Amino acid sequence: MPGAPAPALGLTGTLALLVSPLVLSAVWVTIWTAIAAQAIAALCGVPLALAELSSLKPLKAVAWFYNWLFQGTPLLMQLIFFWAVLPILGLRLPLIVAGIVALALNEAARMSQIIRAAIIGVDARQFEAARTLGMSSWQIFRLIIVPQALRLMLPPTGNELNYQFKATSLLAAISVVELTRQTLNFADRDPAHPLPYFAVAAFYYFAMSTAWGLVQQRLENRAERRGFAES
Amino acid sequence: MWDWSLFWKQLLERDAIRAAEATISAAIVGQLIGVTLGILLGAVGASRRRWPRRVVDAYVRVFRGTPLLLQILAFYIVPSEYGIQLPVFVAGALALGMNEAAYLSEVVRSGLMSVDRGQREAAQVLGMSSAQVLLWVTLPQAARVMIPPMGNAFNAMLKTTSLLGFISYEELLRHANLVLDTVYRPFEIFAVITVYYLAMTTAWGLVQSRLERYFRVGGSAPVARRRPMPRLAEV
Amino acid sequence: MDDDAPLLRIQKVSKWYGSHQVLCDVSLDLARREVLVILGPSGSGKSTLLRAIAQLVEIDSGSIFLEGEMLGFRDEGRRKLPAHRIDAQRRETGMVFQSFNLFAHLTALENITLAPRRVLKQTRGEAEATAIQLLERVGLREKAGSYPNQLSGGQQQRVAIARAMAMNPKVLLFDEPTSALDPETIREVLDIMVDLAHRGVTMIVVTHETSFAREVAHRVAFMEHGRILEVAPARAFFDSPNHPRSAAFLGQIL
Repeated sequence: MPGAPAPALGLTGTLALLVSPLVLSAVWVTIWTAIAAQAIAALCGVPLALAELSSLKPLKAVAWFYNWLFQGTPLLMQLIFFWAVLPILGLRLPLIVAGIVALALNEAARMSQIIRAAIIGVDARQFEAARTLGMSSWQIFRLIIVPQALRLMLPPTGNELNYQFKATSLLAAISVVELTRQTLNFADRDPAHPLPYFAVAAFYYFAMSTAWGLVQQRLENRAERRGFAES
Repeated sequence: MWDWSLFWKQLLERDAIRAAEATISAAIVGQLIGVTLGILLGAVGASRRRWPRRVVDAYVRVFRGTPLLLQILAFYIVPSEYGIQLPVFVAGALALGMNEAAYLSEVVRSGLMSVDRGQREAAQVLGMSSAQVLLWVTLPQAARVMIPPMGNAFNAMLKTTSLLGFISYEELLRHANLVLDTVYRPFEIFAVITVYYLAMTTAWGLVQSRLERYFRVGGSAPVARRRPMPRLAEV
Repeated sequence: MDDDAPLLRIQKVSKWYGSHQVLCDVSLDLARREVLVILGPSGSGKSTLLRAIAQLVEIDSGSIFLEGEMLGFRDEGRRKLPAHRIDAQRRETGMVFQSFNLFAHLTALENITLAPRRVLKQTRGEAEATAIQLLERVGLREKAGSYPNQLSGGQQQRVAIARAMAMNPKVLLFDEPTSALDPETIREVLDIMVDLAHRGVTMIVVTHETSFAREVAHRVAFMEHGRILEVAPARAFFDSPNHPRSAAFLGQIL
């Protein structure tokens, strides 16, 4: 190690950092893990929501317990737990998969509430109208409730993805090199001047949520044009 | 296999209790900072002054647009560049509180704006200063809509204190990790801290519902709760 | 102080909302113990005038004096007074709103005691003693512990009058105090106002209740399009209005 500390990154250094392959690949990890976790969570949320809405007491109880457990304890703890028990269970999963599963299972609890609210949000008269047309329960669910509930779910689910971009930062704890871990690695290597690294990370997190915000706006506008105003 | 005696021993371990206390104290201090700052920022945000309002907007954007973990690390690491080393607890509670303030300021702002303008005018006409109007008329009325999200924020806060382990604050999760280094029994050890976390969040849930009932004075209608609450200050 | 000098002097007051002028060079004097009723069609600027006196809206030109002190501004140069001076001036004017605006989170008693306690720094005992007297005067002694949403509109407005009186204002402004009330309860509020008038409270009342105007008003002012078109003693105004517009207006509402 040289005796004198390295000089701080100047403006050019910071700009170079902004497009350096290390940073860009970390940003990419953040983006795809967030999307993967959110997608899995949305899928897992469906059976949970249906269980909550079902009239079967044991099903209801299981869903309640799941939500209580996953929302009553920290996400970071769940993440580290999965990471810690995988070897004991003999599962040889890559770290990042364990991380995504933990993020998704935690988020599933949240998604189940969003899905449940969307299903309840569909006007009950729609249900009655479909009944008088002679549709079966399954048909009503598939043809009437699901399409309308999907529209109601769109805005809150979009916000969840935005949250997920930030939640992936916790993957740093199990040394997945996403944006926050990468920032920490930089800061460890250049402990005298950590600020530019944090600024670059903040920039990309902003960019992600802003870009997604714009996409979300367009999606919602399109849903609205088709006659589904968010009430 | 599952080892009950290890579970009970770890559950009642002195260090575990101390770690639980550390979790609670960080959450309480963070919440105090969050609520106080959130009310100040929210009051400015609801005011008609343009520049202060822009500053609040920028603050909210910064703290909501980046991960809490990044903020905690930045609070701990960046000041050292300028020769200031904040103690772990201070950096941690400050980051938690300032992050939450960004979320709560919006709750406070919309709460204050939901109070009928006539209420403020009636108070002004009686000669009350802006601070008095806020303290005695608008804030108490906004409380009804502000209390539930603030309660949820504390629930989230109890959990997000776990991120302080990153800067080596010895709360429950870090405690578990430390124990794990010597006794690799993740099921029992995580079960122990799960019990602590669930006890805290569940107990707070009960307190919260009593608080909400208390603040529903004057027979005003309860706040509709059909939609899931927006996320508050988590991660 | 000279008792003949007007209590309230309004001089050439104008107010614009954007390009729309809601008050045009309004001038008016009010004597101590006088009851003035302002009549006029809706949108004529009556409410804005009251709100200007109470300093809820800032006037664009002209000036208002209460007991010789200019309201809201330091001098004719239109330099604004600091906020705490404006707050102090607002204590001297009381206002009763069309929509009552009782503090929703406080009981009737607390509504009345809040400002005396927090602004005038009275003790709780003092403030409550006065408040109970006032509640008795408006006939609502037994409603002291009720919240606004447990009171009828007429009852709420009576509490609002008591709340304004508790600050002992030099002039009490009524902004259509009975317009939001059911016909059956209008009278109970008017009775309180008549009582106040007989007790010598200086009042400006914006209302459509001509019976009240005939009964207790000393003078009546007629406003239209932001101007005062006529000010006359009440009897003269109702018997033979001078201005053709006020005659037409009376013809419509009587």
